[in-house]
Amino acid sequence: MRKEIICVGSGGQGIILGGHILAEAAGIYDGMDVANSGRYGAAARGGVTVSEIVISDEEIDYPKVIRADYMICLSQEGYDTYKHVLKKEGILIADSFYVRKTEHENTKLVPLSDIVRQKSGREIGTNIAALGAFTRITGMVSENAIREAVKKMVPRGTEDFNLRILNIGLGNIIHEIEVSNREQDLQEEYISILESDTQW
Amino acid sequence: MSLLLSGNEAIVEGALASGCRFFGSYPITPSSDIAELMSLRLPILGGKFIQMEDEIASLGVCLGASLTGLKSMTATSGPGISLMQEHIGFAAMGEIPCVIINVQRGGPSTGLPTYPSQGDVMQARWGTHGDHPIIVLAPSSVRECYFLTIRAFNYAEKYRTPVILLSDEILAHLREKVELDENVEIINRDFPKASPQEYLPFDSSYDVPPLAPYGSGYRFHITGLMHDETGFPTADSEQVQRLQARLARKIREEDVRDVDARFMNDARICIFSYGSTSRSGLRVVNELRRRGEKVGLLRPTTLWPFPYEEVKRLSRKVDVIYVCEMNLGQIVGEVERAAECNVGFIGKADGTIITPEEILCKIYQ
Repeated sequence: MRKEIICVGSGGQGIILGGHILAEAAGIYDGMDVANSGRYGAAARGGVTVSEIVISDEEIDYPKVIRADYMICLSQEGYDTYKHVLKKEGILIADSFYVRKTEHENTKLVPLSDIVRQKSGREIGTNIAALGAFTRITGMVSENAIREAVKKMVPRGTEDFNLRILNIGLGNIIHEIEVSNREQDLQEEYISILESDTQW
Repeated sequence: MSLLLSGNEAIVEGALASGCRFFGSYPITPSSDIAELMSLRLPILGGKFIQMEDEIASLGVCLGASLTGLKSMTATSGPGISLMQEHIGFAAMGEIPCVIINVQRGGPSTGLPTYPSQGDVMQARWGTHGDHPIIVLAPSSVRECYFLTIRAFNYAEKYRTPVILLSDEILAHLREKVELDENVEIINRDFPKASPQEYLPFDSSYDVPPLAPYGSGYRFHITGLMHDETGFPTADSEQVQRLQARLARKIREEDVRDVDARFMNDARICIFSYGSTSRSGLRVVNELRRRGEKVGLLRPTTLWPFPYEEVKRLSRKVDVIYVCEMNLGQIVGEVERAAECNVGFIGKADGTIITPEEILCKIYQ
């Protein structure tokens, strides 16, 4: 079964590395066939970055995303630019701080950057938290595979930090909301996270 | 061991597995990661990496290194491959083994640096002036980037010729699984049996004369001018004709030509495609086969020498061949030369890959 995933965000958020890690998890640790590619322009940072991953249990013919089954999104601009690539019934996993307005019914807003910021004072690692949330929500890769891939691919010396962040993504801090009353739910979400004392 | 590599990384692995120990280049998108990786890997293996002042010098330095016996490679794209044409001719004339990686991007000129194209297909064959032998390979997956780079080195050594690997921006940055093969066949150039005194670097009793490495006691002359068997210039028409004839026949086409045929046994429609575009073709074939349509894919992995015979033979069994390429019509002309059926063309040069949808639309329009 062929499944297509598209990761979008702003330059610098680690979208490309996130895509590499996800592909490594699926291809090397879960033994699936996998194709991963990016889209990039001439700019070094900023702008919309994209990583495409195709996962299949048989030989992948066309290696690019045609209509994505899943989207991981870390910026509103990224969503607006690539929302047409995600199937109508596709699952959107988005950062609740950066993505406010979505059209897909299966939207799962996760306070990824909020949590990472609260725990470490910076937002570095939001991409890893997103991979955790993706793994938990979709089951497209195994927990073990994504752990091993993160351990292997992140810069040396940051393995523990990133594995802790991954665990948060893999945890229960996920909030599914309706499109109509998102604003209200977001408020509640923020309050509950900020009041929580999540163990690392 | 399975590895997840980009096309550019796989080319580096293939080159190192082939025994490449010299790399000279000038960085250019989308080929630069090949140079970057070579600069890290080669010194560890006792090889040499050098960044030259431009692409003309880059191929020049590779030819020099190759003449000392090192397997040599350069990598470039777009404007860089245009600059290299002069030395590709010198390599063909001097019969100097070398591998040239061309990661195609949109052109002409500076064109579209970060977007793919297959616009260099005819240039790869005829970019340098004069009749000359050359081998051009076109991988369509990361796995093939690895294996065809090895094959490129083998052909370069076996036939004393420049070999061009035509990759493109899509393959360059596509990451797929590759199983590196440590037992793959590696061909090395023949060392001369003749003594240094008797050695003829362009001995016409061979199709491919053995090449002595400079520095091994064999002293000989290499020139871009037409030359006799000793390597010194000549304008004698008989000698020139003899050299031309040998150059024209030395690459054994039946050994080098290679096509991948999928579902062609009972196909009525043939999609002819190469490089990354053939992945779209394969997708269309797989989808239409699921619907019971008799469609097949013909994909040359060796673009030059072109598989005229194979195309001709298959064209007798199908109603139509659709040629898909990321340009405004290059290899389609060769297919038309060979085919005895209708030939349709699906191509564009706007920096985007031809999608399976676009091929389907054209077939059913």
